[in-house]
Amino acid sequence: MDKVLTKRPCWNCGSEVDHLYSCSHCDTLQRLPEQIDYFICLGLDYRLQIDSQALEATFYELSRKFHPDFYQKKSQEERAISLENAAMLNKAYRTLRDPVERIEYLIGLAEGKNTLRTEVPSDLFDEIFELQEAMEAIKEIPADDAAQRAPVIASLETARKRFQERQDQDQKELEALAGRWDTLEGSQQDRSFTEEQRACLREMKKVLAHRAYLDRILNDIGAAIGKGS
Amino acid sequence: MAKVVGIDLGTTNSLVAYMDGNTPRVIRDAEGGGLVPSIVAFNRESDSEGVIVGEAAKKQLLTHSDRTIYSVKRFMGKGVEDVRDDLSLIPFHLAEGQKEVVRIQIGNKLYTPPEISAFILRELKQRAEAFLNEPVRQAVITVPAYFNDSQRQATKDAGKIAGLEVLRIVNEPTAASLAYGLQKKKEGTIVVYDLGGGTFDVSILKIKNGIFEVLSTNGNTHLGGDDIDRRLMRLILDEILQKYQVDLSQTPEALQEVRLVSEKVKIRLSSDEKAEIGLSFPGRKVEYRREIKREEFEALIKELVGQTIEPCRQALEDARLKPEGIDEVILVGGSTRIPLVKETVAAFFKKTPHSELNPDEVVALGAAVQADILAGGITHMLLLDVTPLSLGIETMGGVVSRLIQRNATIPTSAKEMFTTFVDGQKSVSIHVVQGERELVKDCRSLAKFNLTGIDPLPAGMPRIEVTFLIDANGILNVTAKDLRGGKMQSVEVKPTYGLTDHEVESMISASIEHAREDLSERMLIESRNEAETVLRHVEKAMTQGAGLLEEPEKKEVDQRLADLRAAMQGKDHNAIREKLDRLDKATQRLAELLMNRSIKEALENKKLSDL
Repeated sequence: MDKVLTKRPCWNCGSEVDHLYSCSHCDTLQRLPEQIDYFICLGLDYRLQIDSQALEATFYELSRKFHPDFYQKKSQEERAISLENAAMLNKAYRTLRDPVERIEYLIGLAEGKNTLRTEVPSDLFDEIFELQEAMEAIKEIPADDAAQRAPVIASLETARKRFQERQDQDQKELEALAGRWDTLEGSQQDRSFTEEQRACLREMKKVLAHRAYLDRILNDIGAAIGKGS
Repeated sequence: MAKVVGIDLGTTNSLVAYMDGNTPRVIRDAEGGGLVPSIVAFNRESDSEGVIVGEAAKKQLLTHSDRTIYSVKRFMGKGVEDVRDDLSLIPFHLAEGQKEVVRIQIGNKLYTPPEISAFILRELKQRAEAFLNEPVRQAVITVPAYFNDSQRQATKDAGKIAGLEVLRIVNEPTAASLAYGLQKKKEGTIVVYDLGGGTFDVSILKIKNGIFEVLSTNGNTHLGGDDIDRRLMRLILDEILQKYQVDLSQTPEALQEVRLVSEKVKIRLSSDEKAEIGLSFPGRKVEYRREIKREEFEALIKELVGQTIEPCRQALEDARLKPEGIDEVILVGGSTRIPLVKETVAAFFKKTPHSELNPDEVVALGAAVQADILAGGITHMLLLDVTPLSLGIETMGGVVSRLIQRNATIPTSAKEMFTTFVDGQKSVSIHVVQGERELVKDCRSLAKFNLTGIDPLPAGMPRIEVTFLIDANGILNVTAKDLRGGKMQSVEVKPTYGLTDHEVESMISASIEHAREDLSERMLIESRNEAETVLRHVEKAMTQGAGLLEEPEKKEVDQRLADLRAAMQGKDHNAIREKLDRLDKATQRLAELLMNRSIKEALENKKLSDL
């Protein structure tokens, strides 16, 4: 998928460029088209189940094409392009190699930016209320009063376990949704997603919102219990 | 093709290396030593004339402690507040009232750490030029992976002041991995544990198909061999205080002697089970002598060595790895010779670390490899490094808005939109910080970037897109674009703990002027030496050939001799040259006459048959 729909003039020789990053006429490095996304940058369709080995191989191959190390003696413009392209590639790889960030990014593409929230999972209201009481309680107990701390810590540990289980459940749900997404028919190029695709994204978004909330809670529990325990 | 050299600018020692075909080599002096002690000594005039660097400067540590600067790397990119804890144990003076950049006071002159480092770099540059027999203009310089933006920028500034184009700032552990990879040609996931004189770094890399991908890095830029020495120093100073009621910490020379002894004892204890400490200050009636066992030393430094483990744990976590996922651990830096360090590392990573590469030289060798990659020599190897610290900007209420996460592969960038709050506002200030904490006050302030020349419009109307780009050196570049007009917006940089471009420029021109002074100094010495040789010859000739010259000719020569002697008292090498030329002309006839006479004598002493 080296070809993109965006044609543009070569900055160096002026002939028409329809390749992602190279001019077929004078062979100079071209700026990646401004409107491309991370998927296109790494030569991927809008799929959520990705072969990580193949992704890494693409990343390495493109790194060899873009990295500033190889443009040290080129013109200032080509050096600048190499820097921008490499920065784009590095961000793209970092985002897409992580299954969760990959979904978040896809949702961002479909809906525009910053639409992700955190949301309390409605089935966990009671547990969260209990947890907050325990967290308040442990703040009041002196750090060296092990006898008084023990029961509170035990209840925090139980909560931690429960929330972790809930997060694992979210993870499975997310994977299933990602699998479902990949079976849906849709445009791979211009981001005009079908209603069915959008519905799938909305479901994933809800799970992600829970997940983000649980992340924060687990973090807080970890801090309250203290490191190493 | 001019060579690009690789420089390891270390806390304790520095080295320069180059690529000899396919092999990186350290450039050594006549005695075979590659290490140049990172010590700069100033002479009494406290001027950059007569500055000495390296072994010679090390000799001055004890005699001129307040004018002999060591471990300057610890001050790079730092403000005075940052180094307050160090002050009690260093014998040279930091200027007060200089908040943003540490300044070291030598006589009545102030030097910034980049200027001191530039003296070391210049020494290395000269060493390389003498060895390679060609001018050296470009270099790759290594820094600790955990160096922040200010510390990297300070290193780059030092290079500039020394007259070097710094093609790349490369991280020490990654440089080491390049040298290691080139030599071993192995693939896998490796940990580089680098405990040097002043800094600690740990980097985790994946080596595959010639790509060296850094997965994570962590460290502590204020933890190293110096701190280990200090633990011993404290012990010795305290014991002397108790036993003799003498506080040596107030005397720079004594302090320096205690430091050097501590360093020696530490090194000894890496190979021996015990070592002798002996210090004598007869003037203060101190005769301190004691034995120290390795066990006792280890108890003293156990906590320090332990401090390296948390960064290792964090690096593993950031790389999403467990110790079992690591194929090899490589030790770099002189402090990894300490047995306790080796044991601690082995226990944490659950494998015996590698130490067959010379831990003092491997970083410089790697820098030479990176230099060769940049020069277009090696094409199959590529280093993909990361930024060690997250980057963010200050938002309302002193909270950090994070733009780039730590361990992001560099180069990397982030874009952010800015606008105005007041009608007609013409400039916007952006405060950039580095660190992992949520509040600005807990992070490291890097710089304030001022977007100026904004068209005066109602509040909120201007739309300025600011790009924060961290380049392959790990250094931040900020550019801004006015999205309404599409033109680039000018950005003024005010570094918090660094030198402005203007300051660096003036330091460069000062050093060029000094270089000129240095040059004329050398020409003066050379012309004086030559004049002395000529004087001796002419005086000898005049006694030998006294009878051969007419009286006016003799007078003329005497006059010229007197002129030359007078010129030699002055400092103008051109004047000496001129008088030398005149003397030469005045003595030409004498030389001819002497020559003729000696030929005649030679002929007279020989028989015709010999001719």
